[in-house]
Amino acid sequence: MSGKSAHKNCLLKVIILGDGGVGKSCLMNRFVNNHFDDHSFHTIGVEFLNKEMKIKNEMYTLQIWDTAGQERFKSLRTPFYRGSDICMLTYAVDDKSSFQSLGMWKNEFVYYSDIKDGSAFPFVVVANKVDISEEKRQVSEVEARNWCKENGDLPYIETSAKDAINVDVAFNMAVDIWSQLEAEMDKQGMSNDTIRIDPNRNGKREACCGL
Amino acid sequence: MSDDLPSSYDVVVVGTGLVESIVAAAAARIGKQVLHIDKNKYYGQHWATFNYDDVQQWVGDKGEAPSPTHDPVDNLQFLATEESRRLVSDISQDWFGGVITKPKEPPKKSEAAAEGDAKADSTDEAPVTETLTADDTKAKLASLSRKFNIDLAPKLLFFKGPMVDVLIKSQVSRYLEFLGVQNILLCVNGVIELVPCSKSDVFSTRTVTIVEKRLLMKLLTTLQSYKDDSEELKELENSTFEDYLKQQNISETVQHYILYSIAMATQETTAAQGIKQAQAFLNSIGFCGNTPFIWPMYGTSEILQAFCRLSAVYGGIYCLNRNADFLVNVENGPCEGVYSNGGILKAQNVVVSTGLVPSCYVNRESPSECYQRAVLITNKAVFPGGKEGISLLTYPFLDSSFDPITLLELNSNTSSCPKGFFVVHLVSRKGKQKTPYEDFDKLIADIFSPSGEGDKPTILYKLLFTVDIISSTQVSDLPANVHSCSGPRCLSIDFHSSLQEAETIFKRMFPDDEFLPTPEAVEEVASEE
Repeated sequence: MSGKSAHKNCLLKVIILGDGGVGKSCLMNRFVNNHFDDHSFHTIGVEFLNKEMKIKNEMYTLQIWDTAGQERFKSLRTPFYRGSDICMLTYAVDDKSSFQSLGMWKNEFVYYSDIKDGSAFPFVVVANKVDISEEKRQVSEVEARNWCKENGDLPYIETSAKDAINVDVAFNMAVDIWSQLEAEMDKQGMSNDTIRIDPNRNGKREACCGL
Repeated sequence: MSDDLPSSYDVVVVGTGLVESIVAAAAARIGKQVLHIDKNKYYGQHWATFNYDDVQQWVGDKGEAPSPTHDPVDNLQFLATEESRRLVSDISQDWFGGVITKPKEPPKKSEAAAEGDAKADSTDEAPVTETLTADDTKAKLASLSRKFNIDLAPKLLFFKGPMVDVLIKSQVSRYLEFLGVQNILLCVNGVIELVPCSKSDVFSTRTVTIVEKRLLMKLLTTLQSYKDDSEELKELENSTFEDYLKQQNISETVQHYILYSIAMATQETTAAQGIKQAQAFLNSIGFCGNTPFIWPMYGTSEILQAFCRLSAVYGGIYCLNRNADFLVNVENGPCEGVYSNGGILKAQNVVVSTGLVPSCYVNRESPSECYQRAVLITNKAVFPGGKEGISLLTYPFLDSSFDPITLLELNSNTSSCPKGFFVVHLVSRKGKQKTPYEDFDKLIADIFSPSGEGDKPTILYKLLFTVDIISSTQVSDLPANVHSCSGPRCLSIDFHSSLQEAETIFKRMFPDDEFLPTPEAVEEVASEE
């Protein structure tokens, strides 16, 4: 399945967080399948979507996890967050309250994901739905960029899953930041002798490159 | 509905214990519309895994909210669900002083990776210790709160056991990681010994003579050879496993190994049952190191949350922090659903924790499983001669004054605690004690030392509580479409009984459907990692 050209293929767990209706599933579907469905909701039976991408001659497999609707009533906990490599904090520019929730989502992520502190983690702030008309916009770029600055100088990008604006760029940006921070990241609880059970029941966990 | 939840479901599940979570996953998996709620802001109820601050909150939560009342409407009865806290009693906690070994500051990766920095690792060899007073301990634990994952109901999985089978078949295993248990220990007369579990262990052990090794090998083979439901096994139903072992020409020490550690039996266990338990143990040996057990990383709650995730992936709706105040019954008829947040959520089936079942359906007179628990935070391993890692120790009372105590020690690799600490869980059956935790006191006096004399570990923190679970067998006369789920049965080390209960409930609701079938491969999901 994976290309032979890459000398190493790194699997990165990506989670997209944000209020219901900001377009998390749409961003994922646009990125992975280059497909947009206005009513795209959580697809039954889909755990995550994988997409391979090449950045600076390195192959990466982004494994993008669906929240499976558990964010709706704030019921996402550790199994979803644990082991994440990248977190995309998402809001819709026509929905002020989704922007105001960003801080809450960031805190949730830091609390449950088992990372040491939030500052050295690859977050990307994604302002989705920039395809809407200017008068419908409730959150300005200036306001959003200010928030990002105050919250650890987080990178910011405006996207439209509907019109395919910047979606690839957003994920590229996330991986870029991941690779910059990767050297400094210190994950808790990553021990190499944990056991993964699979049908052969002898699968040792394979350490991802760089860890 | 006020919060735009759909108003009717195939299954409403109240409570996020393990049985409830497995049922929720199994129902959603076959396409049923599932709503899963819990009044707490965490998953698991009595199965929860807490950090240190959460433990403090849990201890402080008296759960004494009065039962709500609701007048009947038309022909509907409103039966108040009850406070689950009624299952826990005799809670206390204490902090003590002691000496801890400070973990070395890990070198920053960027520095370590730098050229010519190789010597940095080898400089600080001597361990740095820190002496704590009881108050220091309290402050220290609070400051490290999130590095603790403390289980209310710690349990292990047999590597070839039914729970592992289900996790694999359902692919719930993809959310989980495990660690092998490293040491099986037995403490008799204050002496801790490593129990030889596998044939290779028997071969290399020094606690058993050569002659006895041969006898023990033979016995292990014999134990494994009994067939389920065979006449031989049936004949052994009327004698005890202890008597059976006494007839086997093996020393007392070896009898103890088999009775207490391998079969995890008591003096009262029947021979037939003891053999079955020994088989479960022996059949799982040889796959993940020298013991049959694996431990779920981050704790028990991780397993039930993984089932909840599967349920959500198949459309189950999850609401923590939300209670179902009432079961709504048609008089003398089926349950209509639950009353929650001011409205009725209709359900074909309601699955509810026994701890929440209205009292009028619970017979507290019939025998239940009542057990004592202790959570200790300590500074050293109980058996320094063992492999670094998880240890499972049995502490029997040879004079039968008490039932055996099971001790599970977790080190920092399990993510139960930060480096330099250990989390030790004790479980024993409640019954023979004249005062609560009397048996624990004896174990603690044998194995731990406040001053650390004789290289014994020191207890820095001790939490005690007693759990009286309500078994679903104590619940009767519920409407046929209400299914109750027992709490954690900590007296058995594995998850088997909970898994069976979940499957039974599932089959009662959906007799023609498969329980947690393997998901069909979805094209987007890469098949390899």
